[in-house]
Amino acid sequence: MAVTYYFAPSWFIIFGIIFEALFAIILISISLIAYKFYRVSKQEKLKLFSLAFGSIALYYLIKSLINANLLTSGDITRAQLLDLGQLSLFAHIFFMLAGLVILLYISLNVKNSRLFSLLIVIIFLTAFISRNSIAIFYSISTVLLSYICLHYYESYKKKPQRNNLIVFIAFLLLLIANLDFIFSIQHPILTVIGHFIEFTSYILFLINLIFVLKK
Amino acid sequence: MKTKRDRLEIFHDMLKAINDKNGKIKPTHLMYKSNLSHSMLNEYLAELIKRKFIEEIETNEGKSYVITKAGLEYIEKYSSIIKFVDSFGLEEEV
Repeated sequence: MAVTYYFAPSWFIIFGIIFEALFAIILISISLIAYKFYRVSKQEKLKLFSLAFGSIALYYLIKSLINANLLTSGDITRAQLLDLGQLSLFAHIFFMLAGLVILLYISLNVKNSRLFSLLIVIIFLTAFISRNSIAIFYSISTVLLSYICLHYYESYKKKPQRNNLIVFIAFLLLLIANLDFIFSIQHPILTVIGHFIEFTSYILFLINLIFVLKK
Repeated sequence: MKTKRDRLEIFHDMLKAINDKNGKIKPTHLMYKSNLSHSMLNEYLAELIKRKFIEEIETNEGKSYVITKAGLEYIEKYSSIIKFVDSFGLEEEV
């Protein structure tokens, strides 16, 4: 049986890798469009948003590449496996949490670099010193996503338009997926369910992007 | 409360007013066309110059503002930018 970084039934591993590569492509597309719009409008939040989505895209890309490598390497040693596991974990800590912190910072609507650095320090310290790392990371991601969801809910209430609703539901599904992943260590099938929820979420982001770009 | 969305709209209205006048306009005309007070106009003009959307030129008849290539690109992409900013909740408080 192939060994991968996450806890999933063996039949799902290849699908997991494909899903994550797909998420990375969708996120990179959104990040590039946001950056393109930033270059035209010079709107600072667009630059930060591009950075946040780009960072989360890197997380999925690294995770997907590492798992693909593990799947295809037949004679991998235990030490190499642990190194790759640590690298993947580091990618999760750094890129996923950094992306979510930036999104939270954008949603807080405060221009304060001290607050931003405080958020980064507290979250990264907690993540690095925790023992039950995976569960802690998903727990932190869940907390961050809860606040981000609240922002998008308020944004939808303020402007009840189709696109705002799509984005709110997409973030809400990401939150549900993260909640699901916290318990995936005990029940590997939850990883499968979580990936399908994430897939729906990213498809919604893609649909919104298509609506935005449609003339 | 004014939001960045309002600012983006005002930028668009100002740039469109300049573009409609063959790319060059006097401040008094621009104030009338964009429906802004004198102090607000100066604030937005400074911001448009900072973003390189317009340039200030001195003529025999006084100051004028000309739209740049970046300003024209902003007008062209405005509709998509607004939809993106709105849907992803990226309005900025002033």
